[in-house]
Amino acid sequence: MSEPFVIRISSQKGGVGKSVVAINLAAALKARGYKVLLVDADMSNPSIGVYLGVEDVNVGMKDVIQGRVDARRAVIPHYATGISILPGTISAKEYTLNVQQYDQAMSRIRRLSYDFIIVDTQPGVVYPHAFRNYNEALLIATPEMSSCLSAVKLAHLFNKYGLKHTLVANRLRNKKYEISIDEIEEVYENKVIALIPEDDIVPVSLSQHVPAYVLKRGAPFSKAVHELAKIYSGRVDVEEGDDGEGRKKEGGTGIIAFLRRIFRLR
Amino acid sequence: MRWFSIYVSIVFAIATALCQVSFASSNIANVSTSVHVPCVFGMSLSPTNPIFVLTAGAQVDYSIESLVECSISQLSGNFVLANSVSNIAYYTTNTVFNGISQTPTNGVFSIPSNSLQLGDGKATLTLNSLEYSNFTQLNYQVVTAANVFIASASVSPTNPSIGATLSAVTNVTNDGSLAATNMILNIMITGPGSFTYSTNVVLSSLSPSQTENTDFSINGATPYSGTYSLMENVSYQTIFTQNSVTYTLNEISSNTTLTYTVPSTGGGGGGGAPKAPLTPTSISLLSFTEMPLQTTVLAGNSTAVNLGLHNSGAVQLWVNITLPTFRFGSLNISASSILLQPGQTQYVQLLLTGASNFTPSVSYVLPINFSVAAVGSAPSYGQFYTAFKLTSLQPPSKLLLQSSTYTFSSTKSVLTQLSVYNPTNKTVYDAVVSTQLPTTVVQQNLTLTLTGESHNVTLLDNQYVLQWKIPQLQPHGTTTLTYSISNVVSSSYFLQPITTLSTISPQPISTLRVFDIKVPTFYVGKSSNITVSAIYTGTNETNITLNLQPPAGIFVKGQVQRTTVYPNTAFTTVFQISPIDMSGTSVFQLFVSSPSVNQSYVLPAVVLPQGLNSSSSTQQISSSAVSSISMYENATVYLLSGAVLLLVVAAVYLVYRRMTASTYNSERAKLMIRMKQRVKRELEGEEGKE
Repeated sequence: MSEPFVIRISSQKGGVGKSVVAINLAAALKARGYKVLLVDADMSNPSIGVYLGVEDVNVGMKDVIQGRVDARRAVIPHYATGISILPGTISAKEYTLNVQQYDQAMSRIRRLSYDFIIVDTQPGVVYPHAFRNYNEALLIATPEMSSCLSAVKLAHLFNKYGLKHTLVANRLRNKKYEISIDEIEEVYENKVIALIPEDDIVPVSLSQHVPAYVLKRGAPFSKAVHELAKIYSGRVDVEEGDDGEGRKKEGGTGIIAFLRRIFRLR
Repeated sequence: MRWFSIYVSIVFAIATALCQVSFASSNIANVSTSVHVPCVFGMSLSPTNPIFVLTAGAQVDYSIESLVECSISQLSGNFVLANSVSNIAYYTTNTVFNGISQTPTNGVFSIPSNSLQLGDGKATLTLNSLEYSNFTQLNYQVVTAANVFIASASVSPTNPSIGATLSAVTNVTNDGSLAATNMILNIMITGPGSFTYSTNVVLSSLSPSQTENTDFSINGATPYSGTYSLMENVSYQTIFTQNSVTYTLNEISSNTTLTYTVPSTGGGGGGGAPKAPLTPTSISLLSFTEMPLQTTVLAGNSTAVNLGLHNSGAVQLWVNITLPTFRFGSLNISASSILLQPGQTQYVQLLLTGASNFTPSVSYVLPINFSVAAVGSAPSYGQFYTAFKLTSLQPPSKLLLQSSTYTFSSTKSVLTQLSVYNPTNKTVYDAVVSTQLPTTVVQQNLTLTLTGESHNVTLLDNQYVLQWKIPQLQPHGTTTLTYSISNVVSSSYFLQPITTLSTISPQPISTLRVFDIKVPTFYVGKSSNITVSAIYTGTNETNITLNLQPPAGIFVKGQVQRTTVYPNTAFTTVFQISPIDMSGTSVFQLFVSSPSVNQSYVLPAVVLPQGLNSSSSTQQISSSAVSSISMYENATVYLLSGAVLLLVVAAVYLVYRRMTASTYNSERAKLMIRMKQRVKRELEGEEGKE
């Protein structure tokens, strides 16, 4: 690619697993051979560095935004995964983002030679004027009403500013109290491109500062992230199902897939 | 709930069907538990394809155990050895085993050497309990150890002077089935005045059918005048290895005795014509047209020879013949008193009969006395000697020199006839008859003529060596060999017994013998093994190569195999054959070679389609009808029940997952859509304001 594909990891609510998805998506794309830059643009609570064990940095995204440091100098490699990180800096001071500076900073970051740039953003904060720097927004929602409605609200905003978006259902337990995927898609008015299960490998990986995708490739969480990365790498569009109800066929075709759907095995 | 009902119904139907099957099987199992199952047992004999040496006896290992969890108080039966060809048993021992359980009962059958028979045999162990019987078999081969004997021996001169050195020639043959090693020729001499002398000569090892001629000198064995007895025998070992176990047999051949006499006043030195009792060619007016010089007679049998008498005068002659008596046989004549007219020739027969008990391989020189008188005149006396050799029925390798006849005519020519007889029931191959004539007897080689079979004459150490080669002599067959000499110098030589008759027969046995090739029945798509067992009886360590060439399209793992073998070693080679794609007959070729041996074998192998069973069975099982309930069916019941249980558990789990999974809630969906639309209107309202 001549220009990087920039993905805005977005959610209206905190705690939906946005940073975890951002980190593991970056690791999965890196494993597929791409050059990946992971940007922590959460000014209030930057967690990328904390999760990956690079929290003790002197310069970060805030410095790049404020123009105190060149973006190239702020990027550090994560040796365990091979991805490059532009971390946030933890500070007790309140910071009010200058949108224009942010926009310019993103423009400079886009000029870095990467295939994918994944930007972890602050939940609930949207700078529409900076949307031009992104190719696509990836909405993260959990299977509960408030999270879904928040994601839908954000989706509407993206529609308004012409930013393409897709939705991922995260932290699925497949319990009766959860909202079904059908309901989510009905409200979202589009397909959910990935179903990421709740998996114990995630807290384990965070404690070891290694992405779950690298720690245990065969875990259900890693497999789901792998499929998500495939979508982005191949830019495969989600296909309409032929059952007339507009739902994506889950898990492929064949007898096994049919049985899995019948018994709701994901 | 509708879907759940359908799911549960399907699972229940499947589980019910499977349970009915397992129930049916378990019913059989229930039946089996109420019916007595016999305590079946298995057994085996080892080692596989053994070779036993006849004189060493045999040991066969056995192992018996019950095949199910039960014990047998007593098993009885027998262990039988039988000839593989005739199936006639030649050794049987009854056996009883108590307390047979799943722990194997091991032991050994020891068969004494006098109970073994040469050749291929099969050992069968048959055992019976009250309700079950079984048997197992083992194929084996019994061979003779090495059998060394002295085929011929001579010492010269037979009348040495005092202090002379003796030259001895001994021919040793091994006509056993295994190589003879560590061979020593032992020589013991006794003579006048309690003289004794002993020495030994180390000989080379001999493979089966191999012979060795040994020349050696003996000094210090002629100190006094008188007659000496020289006795020889060969001590040797047979060392045989099989299955990493080595057997060693120590043997001594039978004795061969020669005599020589040191005359009191000098005597012929070595190399000159020996002094011997004179054989007259005439006594007065009586001349001999035919005179037996040496006759070989089988112990317990008789042989007739002719004595030709001719009246060369012009008057009648009375001829009286007196025969001696001797210990190991008898001598009879057809007529002991003959009246010969002038110019008449008459023949009388001498009948020589050998006694059953005798000292073998000894020639007896018998004097036959003549008195010849013209009518009305005083008689003239004379004596001639005939050599009479007694022998026993030798192994097939021994031919008999049945008679030799001397004919002396007025032209001083001699015709000697050698009649060679095969006394056995086997054809003898490549027999060699040889004799020597001193050059003092035969003035010129050109005067010596041989007839019969293929022959040659060579000059060696002042002697003419005459040889005839008989390629084949049928059982009880006779062939006649002759040699004639014109212008003979002395007829007295021909009295000497011909002691250098040697035979080499039967056909030499190859030092490398393949005695067993196992070619199993092949099945399409399955691999199998071809096993080759062989024995090497050479006398030196050597390399053996076995090459099993398959037909096109078949692969043999280890097609060419090389191994180093030692003397008297039995070894087994296994060739792994790759799966064969088509049924029919596949022909393999086996090549076996060593530095001196090349053999080939054609091995056809039958390939059956998959699923066909071989018709041969090595186990015979007899039991009552209850034995149709078997462990095999019980295992099927257990497996089926386990599979049903697994399916039921899986079905229950899947149903549980289905029941606890999230489901579409239309009310909730409508609520979220309403809330989304409100948010949308708010956002659009703000846009309008903007």
